[in-house]
Amino acid sequence: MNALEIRDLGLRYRLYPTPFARLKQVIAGGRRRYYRENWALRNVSFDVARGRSFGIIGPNGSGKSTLLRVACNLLAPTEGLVRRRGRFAALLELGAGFNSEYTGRENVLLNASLLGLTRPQIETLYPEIVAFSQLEAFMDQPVKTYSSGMFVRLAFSVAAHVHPEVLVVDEALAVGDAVFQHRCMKKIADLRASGTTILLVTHDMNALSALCDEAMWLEGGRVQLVATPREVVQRYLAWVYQSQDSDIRVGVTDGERPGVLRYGNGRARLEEWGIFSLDGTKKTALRPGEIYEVVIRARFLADVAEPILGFQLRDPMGRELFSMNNLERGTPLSAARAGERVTARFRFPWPELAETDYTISPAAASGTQENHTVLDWIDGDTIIHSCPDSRVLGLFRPSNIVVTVEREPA
Amino acid sequence: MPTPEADVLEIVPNQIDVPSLGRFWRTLSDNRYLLWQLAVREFLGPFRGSFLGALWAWIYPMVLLTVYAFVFSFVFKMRWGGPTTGGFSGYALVLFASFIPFNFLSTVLQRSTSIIVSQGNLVSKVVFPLEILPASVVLSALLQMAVTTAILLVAAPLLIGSSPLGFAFAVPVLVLHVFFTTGLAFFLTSLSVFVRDIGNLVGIALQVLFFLTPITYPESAFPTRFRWVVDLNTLATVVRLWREAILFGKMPDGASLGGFAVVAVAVFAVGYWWFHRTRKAFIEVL
Repeated sequence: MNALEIRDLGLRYRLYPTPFARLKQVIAGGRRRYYRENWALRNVSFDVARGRSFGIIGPNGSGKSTLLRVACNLLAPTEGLVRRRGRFAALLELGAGFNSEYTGRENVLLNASLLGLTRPQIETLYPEIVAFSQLEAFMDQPVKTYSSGMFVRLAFSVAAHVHPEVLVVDEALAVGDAVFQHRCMKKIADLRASGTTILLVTHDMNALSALCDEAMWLEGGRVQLVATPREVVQRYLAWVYQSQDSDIRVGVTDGERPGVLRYGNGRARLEEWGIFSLDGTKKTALRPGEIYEVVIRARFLADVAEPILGFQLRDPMGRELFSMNNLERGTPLSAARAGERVTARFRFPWPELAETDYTISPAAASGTQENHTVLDWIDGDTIIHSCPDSRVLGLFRPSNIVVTVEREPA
Repeated sequence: MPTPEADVLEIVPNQIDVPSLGRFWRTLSDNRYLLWQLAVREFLGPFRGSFLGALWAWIYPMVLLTVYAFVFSFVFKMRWGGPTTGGFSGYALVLFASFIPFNFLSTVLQRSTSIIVSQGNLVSKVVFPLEILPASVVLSALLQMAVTTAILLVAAPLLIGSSPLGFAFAVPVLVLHVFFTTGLAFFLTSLSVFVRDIGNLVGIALQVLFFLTPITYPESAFPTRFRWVVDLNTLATVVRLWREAILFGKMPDGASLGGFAVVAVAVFAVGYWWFHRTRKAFIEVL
């Protein structure tokens, strides 16, 4: 059964020059127009099955937040249908209902009731909320004396303990320090594990890959793609890079090998890439500690002032584990001429990565580390397998671990 | 946990949600804790962190009342007349009683013109029934009124020997006054979102209303050629019925009470309907 069904949803914003014009429109009804129109969403359809978590990505202004507001019944759709089942709780902004003059305790009570909890529920949850926030000592002080980190911690604690059937989160988590973000992620993962349906808007591709079962890419108020988070992230990033340079575009998929994503402005073409052992044989199974060489060869089809060759290594969830390129490693390339071929070799001992499949995405770009355009990028083409001697706990194991244990007799 | 089909919510364009008293009541009762939280905060908010705290809620009207009583009684030589209320303390008491319904109206209307704009974050970022906001303003003013009325109920029997039973006659007037005020509050709450000048306008209108209502002077002092001003002024009726009931134990006359009932219910209905009609647009202009 679906927790949320959205069919052919469209939302047209009416832009009024003044708030008063909005009122005149209410009175005039359909007889006159005091507004300009703008479709924020059009033909949006998707389902979120109960217990699944659904992520939405897209550039600023693509309609993500509007979509959440429609799903939360804050904004009425102009066309289409929203059908939802279960109790929704919206976290459109962390601490939106907080009043800085009130104490922490008062804000917790007020916000929990704003989020729809009844008095007995709040009384039961209160100790838990305070414990999660780790602000026991500050609960009787006005929130205005809190640091921003403390404020956010309290706000999230309240929201996370509401236990709705469907949780709607709008980038509320892109705040606070790393430790806090980690706790948020953990809490959301726990909620997800306990069967809460989650609708999440985020800019963080890693969060999307890690937290969502399914994802949607929204652009200009239209759905571009609904697929696995991994695929959505790949295609979205491809689009982001591609739209940085609109001179020449190649298709998103590689015409020679269907199914492989390839993009760039076409001023260079990757001709050969792979990971080799030192005797020159191509490898797919890699042993930690052994030295390998990633080779990337590109042919330049136009003059490029600041060429860069490099690659990215990602895990099966689509998370970037590490990347390297000649520039960042301190070996800049001088300008490349049209027709010239350049080969970059990256030699390094294979780190002790957990045993699974990884992908290598080779790339040629031009510019600087901070600001570059993609000439040619082949996404996750080469699949390699890490073969550690023993099971790696977590993503990787640091090298040269020394463990000592001491025993003191009783 | 399976959710019953009744839990399904369908949102389609141009949904008309029919406002009804029953629905309004259910919303209030479903959210009573939130309503209470908001009302108490609203009531105590201005005194937060001050040394005397909630005492200020009474100091302010008491000082004002004393000044009015002094000025009108000694400077303007105003008297109510009558055997029990002829003196200064009688004048002050009647004034105090008359202030109560006016203060209630004034507090609610002033605050309702800023509640949505000042709580804009709640409106656009938190999902909750918006009628709670004006309702919390009314409830917090009711809290304040409860305090002043309690003082009156103790002072009136002591000073002029009024019967405490008069309060029973005042209750229907009070209930209708709450409906009347709530209706106006709904209307102004919504209007102030679109027309920000409403706040200032209401401030001036309340000043005018204060002096055009027989609060500091008896109704009989109003010049006969302007008599219609009092007749048209619903608040004048409220003040008259209220003080007659609570001070002199007089049952409200049917015509006045009936007339007020019609006005109060109509104002409430129109105000609530208007609020419902416009609430979806709040988020667009905030």
